[in-house]
Formats: sequence, structure tokens, C-alpha cells
Amino acid sequence: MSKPTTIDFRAARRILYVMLACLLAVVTAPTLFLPAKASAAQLSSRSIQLSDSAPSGGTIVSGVGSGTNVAYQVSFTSTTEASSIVIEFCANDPLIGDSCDQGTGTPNLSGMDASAAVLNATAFAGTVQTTTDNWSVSASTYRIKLTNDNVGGSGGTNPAHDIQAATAESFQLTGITNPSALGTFYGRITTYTHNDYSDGTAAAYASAASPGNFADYGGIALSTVQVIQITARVQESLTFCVSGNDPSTWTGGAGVQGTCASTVASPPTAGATPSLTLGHGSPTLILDNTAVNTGAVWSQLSTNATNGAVVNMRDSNTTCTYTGMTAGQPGGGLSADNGTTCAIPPVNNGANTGASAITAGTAAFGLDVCAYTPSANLPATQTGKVDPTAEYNANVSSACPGLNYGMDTATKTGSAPYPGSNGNASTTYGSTIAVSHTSGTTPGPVFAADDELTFAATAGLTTPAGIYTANIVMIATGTF
Amino acid sequence: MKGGRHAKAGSSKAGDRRRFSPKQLTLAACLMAAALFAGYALLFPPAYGAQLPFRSMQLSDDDVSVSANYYLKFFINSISSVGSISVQFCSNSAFITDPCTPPPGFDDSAATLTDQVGETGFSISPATTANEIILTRVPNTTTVHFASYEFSGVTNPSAPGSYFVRVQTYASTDATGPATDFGSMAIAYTNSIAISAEVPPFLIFCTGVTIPTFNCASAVGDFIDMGELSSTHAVTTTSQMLVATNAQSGYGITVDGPTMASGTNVINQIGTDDVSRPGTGQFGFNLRANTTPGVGSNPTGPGSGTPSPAYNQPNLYQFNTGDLVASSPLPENYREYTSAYLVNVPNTQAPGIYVTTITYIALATF
Repeated sequence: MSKPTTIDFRAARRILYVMLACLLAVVTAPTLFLPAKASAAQLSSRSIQLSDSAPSGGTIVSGVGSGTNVAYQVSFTSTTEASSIVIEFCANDPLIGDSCDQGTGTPNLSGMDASAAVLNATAFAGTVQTTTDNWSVSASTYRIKLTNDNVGGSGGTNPAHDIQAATAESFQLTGITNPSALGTFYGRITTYTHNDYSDGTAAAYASAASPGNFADYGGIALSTVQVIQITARVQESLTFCVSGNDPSTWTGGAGVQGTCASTVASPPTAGATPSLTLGHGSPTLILDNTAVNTGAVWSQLSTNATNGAVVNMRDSNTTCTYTGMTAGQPGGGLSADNGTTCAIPPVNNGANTGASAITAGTAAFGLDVCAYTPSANLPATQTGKVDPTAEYNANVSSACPGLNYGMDTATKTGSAPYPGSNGNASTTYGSTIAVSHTSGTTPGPVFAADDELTFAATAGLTTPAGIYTANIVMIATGTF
Repeated sequence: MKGGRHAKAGSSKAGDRRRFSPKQLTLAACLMAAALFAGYALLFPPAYGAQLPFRSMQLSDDDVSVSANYYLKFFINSISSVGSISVQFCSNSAFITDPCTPPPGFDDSAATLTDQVGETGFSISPATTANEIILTRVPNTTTVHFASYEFSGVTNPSAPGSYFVRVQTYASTDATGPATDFGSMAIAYTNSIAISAEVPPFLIFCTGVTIPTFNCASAVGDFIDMGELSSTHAVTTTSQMLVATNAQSGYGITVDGPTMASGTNVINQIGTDDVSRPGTGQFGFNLRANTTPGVGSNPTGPGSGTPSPAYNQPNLYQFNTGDLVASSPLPENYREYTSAYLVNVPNTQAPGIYVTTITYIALATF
């Protein structure tokens, strides 16, 4: 049996109390550690506000969270008139005159770089600004020195440019790189009556440990903290369905009512299978020369594709021929002989000149597409439309469906296999019948956008008897 | 007096001394390590290249379980060395970092690369699986442009719905190692629309004294009174018939009935084409416009049917029951025929009311 490890909490607590006591002593008795400066006073209301508290050198290399090109807004209220300022950054403590850990040792300010600091043209308060009061900055990695053009102190050449006594100052230094370590670091601010970082004597600022004869002073604690990265994933989505049931009836299921997720939308729900028999009469529907018979199915598209989506349509009769066919443009009709001929040809012989009428007795087959608004079960978040292209747009302002139809077998843009919107109902990827628009005519994402697809056909007097069929596929393609 | 209190091992008040077994300490250390690792993973996620913009996957057929062509297109907006492209199909997620569940029934293992544009020189790698096509080539530096690839022989999933495609490019030739660029798409499979229509066989045929339009509803009259017959001149009249049919082998119209008779007294039928001979017994007709005498019209209408030769000659008349009088070998749009009847009698013709009933029969061959 292994010997258990013992942790002595009582001893640990004793050590902790000693540490806290020491810390308290250090924090509450800063004056004990200051060099002797009889007339120096603390800068009050002092602070340094960072525009970015992230440590530098992380995975974020620019912008917020990179810890680079950070703006430091230095604010304080002076006691004494001053012509120069030194801001020294230290990793160990804010105590003026104390040793200052910077580039090496533990802790240190590794990664920090203030050498590119730029002073604001106009201060938020006071006179520390490049314009008007002619302050300038000289900086090194861990030290920023600011001075004006007043030579000689309060009675000098330009005393009005000085930090005045008992005055609030607030100015910004940009272009600073934060330390690369997380945690607290310090800024030690000392001001000087003369613009050579001195009080007019030889005791000028030399280093953090030898700050010279300063007028006012103050230490400030700063901290770099971990950046909070917030990420959320939105994946590509595209939902498309075709149903024999009107979207107004799409209910049931756990999904949003009125969408493809509704059980009524999809087989095996009665009527959902998109199957159409065109004709009139009873008990058997027949197609003849006396009427144009129609049948409708509905489609719905939802997608977050940034560049929208197109709906293409392809007729399974891609090679059937017919009387009056333009050479090289077969297909697109209804066939009674497995696609060899289309005795019910595409309307207008498959021309791509826009939707046209079908006249009873002149054999033809075509499709009308219109953006459909269901009378019920419209999802509250429904967005956008899937608008028909010109070839399949009856161009009826309000009625749906219209009375003009199309069945393009002519379009062939570019080279085979004519993908995208470059083909027709007989080419590999079909004819574009509709395009999604978030609003207006710009392709974009849509949600629960319905179309009514109305197929129409009529037979002529010489249309051979038979059962005419076509399998129509509708394909939605999003461009993300 | 003894000072201090001694803790009893296992007592509920053990003071400030607590014993931890090595197992407890090990567990605590592991939990801490896991927390640190998770924190690290959250803070420093795996690095990927740029997204492939304007990406799409177009299908030639989105019906379930069918074989289809797939057209992949995307824009390459960075210059890098690419030796392989992975096209992975998943049912669960579009995210590259998520596990991929193959779509049910989906199979691209027999896919053929039929076209490539933009970045070319690819072939399908043997490492291709049922739901991931890997294209491979000798690594080459890309340029900024569109690239597209077409695959044939891909078997669609067996269930309709939405699925995902993940595309990644690699510097390696086998789609291993860090991806250069990536992009995902969503695609959908749905039911096709089955359209059917029945065109029945039909034959439109009607007769009448007149049929003013190409519509049997306009046919009027079925009785013709030719008035008083004469031995000095022919007496004529007309009737019409309209026909249309979708019979693929066309139709034929025959005439049936006796010559004109009054009891046992008959007017001789014109058994063989003959001209009008006033003063002789003749009953016959044709389907043409005649001048001697002036009676009848030529066939009219968009159809192409024609009278039979015996009834197709102006000013020659014939009548034999059962004769084929008009026909077409093809489906017929509306065709209207006008029968021009001719009757001549000798001056010895027995008096009486002479009648006949003529029946025309159309037979379509489908």
C-alpha cells in the first residue's frame, strides 16, 4: 500500500499570512523607499488607459487583441509647473528611484516596445501636445521622454507651454507594443521644471534608479490580460424540396411549419409526391386538342449561400426529336416512345425568347414559374424570393400561375457541358428557371422561399395516341 | 500538561492535515492537465488557410440513388503549391474540423474526372473512398483564378435531404498534412417530378348537307330534295363531310348505299367514271369542283387527305357502293370533302319518287 502524501495546510496558511503582511507593508509605505526630494509631490488622479490590454506576440498579429500599436492615454493632475516628463516602464514595482526590471530577469517587460511612441497633436486636456505647445517625444524600448520648448523653467522662454501647476493633463501616446507576458507591469511618471529632465541643476534624469530632481511623481499599475476570443460557427446550408402539396398546407413534424421539414411537404404524406397527370375529363384524364391542361407542384428553397442559389430544371427527354425542331436543339417535350420522339414538343419549339402562350390544339409542353406566397403557414422568418428567369416568367403581376410558359432547349453558352446557367432543359445541368434574391434583384440568401411550378400541355389533332411522359428534375445550386 | 492536539487518522476533524492518496493526486493532476489543454485548444485553434470563395457544387440530377454528374467550381485567391484536392461528402456537418458521416447510399468510388479547368493535371487518386474524391497531381503553384472539376458516375444518396461537401487543397499529393485552402458547400437531393398525359386515339368524322366551319358542331342537314329530274339536263346537289384523326396510319372513307330507286324502277349508277350525259340514266358523284355541270368543291382544310382516283376527276362521276372515296396515309388535321352528286334520266324513266340513302364510313388505322 503506497504512503499517502500529506499537505500541511496550517503551515501553508502561516506562510501566506507572512506574505500578505509583507505586501501590505510595501504597498502602504511607499514614501519610505523614495529618494529624498523635499519639494516633490505626487501626481494625483493619475492613470494610464490602454486601448488594447492584450499581450503582444500572440496568435493575433494585428488589430484589437494583438497588443501592438496600442494607444496609452496618460492622465494626471499636476502639482508643480513642469516642462518635461519621463515615463519609465518597469516590471517589478512603481516606486520612483527603485531598481527597474525591464528586458531581463524575472519579472521583465519582454516584448514591450515603446520606441515608436507618437505623441498626440492635440491633448485631451492640458498642454502636452505637439501642436500649440510644441511638446515632442523621444522614446526607447521601455522609456518615453516628453519635453517642450520652454527653456529655463517657469521664467523661461515659453512658460505657457508648460504643464501648469494644479492642472489636469491628459494626452495620448500611440504606437506602443505591450509586453508579451500576462500580468501587471508599472509606469513611473516623473515631471521636471526644466525641459532637460532636470530642475535646472545637474541632477537630471539618468535612469529609473536615478530619476534626478523631479517636480512631481507617481507610479501606476497596468496589466495585460488574456484576450477573450469569441467564435461561433455557422455552417453552409441549403434546403430544397419539391412537393405536390401546396405550402399553405405544410404542417406537422418538429421543424418550422411551412418549411420542407413539415411532414405534409414530403412523401409519403398523401399528395406530397410531385407527380402530375395533365388532362381533363373523367374517369380518365385525357389530353386533346380542345384544351390546355395544367398541373402544379411547389418548391421551396432555403440557403445562406452568400452569392445566392439557382434552380435548374432538366427534362428526361433530352434527345427526342419532333416536327419543326431546330437542328441541334432536341428534347424538352413529352414523349410516348421512351424519348425517341416528342410528339408534344416544347412550347415555341424550345426557343429562349421568353415565355409564350400555349394554344389549345397546337401540341406543346411548357413550364411557368412564379414566386408563391402561401395563404397559411408562412414562416415568420421567411426571407427573400426565388424569382423566375425570363424564359419561365409569365410576367403576370399578381396572378400565380400565369398563362405563358417556357421550355428552353436552345441556350448553350460557352462550352459543354454548359454548367451553371449556361445550358437548357436538355443539357447536362439543365436550364436555370429561378434565382434566389434576398431583396431586389441581387442574388443572395433566402429562407422558405416558395415557387409554384405549373406545367401545361395540349395535344394537336395529329398528336399520336399514347401515354406521354417526362421526368423533370429540379436542382438547386448554391454559390457560397 | 500536554500541549497541542493530535489528529487522528480518519477522523472527521483532522484539523489542518489532510491525507491524499497517490491516486487522488494523480487524478487531480490529470484533470488540471486536461483543463489546461482544453484551454490551450480554445485559445489556439488549429490554423487553416483561406476559404475558397464563390464555391459551388452543381448536380446533373438530384434524385435519390441515381448516377449523376457533379460539377465543382471555386475561386483560388492565393498563390500556393497544390498537389492534391480533397472533395469529401458528409451528411452531418460542413465543418472541416468535425467528423464526417458519409451520406447513406452515396458512392463516388467509381467516379470519373471528365473535365478540369483552371488548375489542371489532376487525376483521381487510388486513395479515393466511397465518400471522398481525392484529386492528385505533381505539386504545382496555383494562380489566382477559377478552377472547376466535373465528375461523372457518382451515385447519389439513397435519402432526400441536405448534405455537405468539404473541399480542401493540399501541398501534398495525397491530401495529407495541413490544408492550404478550404471551403464547404451544402447540396440538396429531392424528388423528381413525374409528368404524364394520355392522348387517346380519336377520329372526328361527320357529314351534313353543309358544314360551314371545321367543326362538326356546325354540320347541318341530312336530307336533300333534288326536285324534278329531267331528261334534258342533269340535276345536281352536294353534301359535305369533315374528318380529322390522330391515327398514325391515317384513314379511309368509303361510301355505302344503293343507287336511286323508286320501287323496282332504278336510275342506273355510273359504275365507271363517266361524264354527264343528259337523257341517259346516271347516278354518281365525285369529290371535286366541276364545271359540267357546275357543282361541288375541291377538298379544303389544313389536312392532306385526297379523294380516291375514281372520285378525284372533275366532271367525271362514279358510284359503286363500298368504294373508297377518300383517304390519307397519315394523321389528318381537319379535311373537308364536298360530294357533288349528278342525276340524269332518260325520257322513258318511269315516273315515281326516287330515293337513296348514302352512308359514308370513316375507318382510322392506329
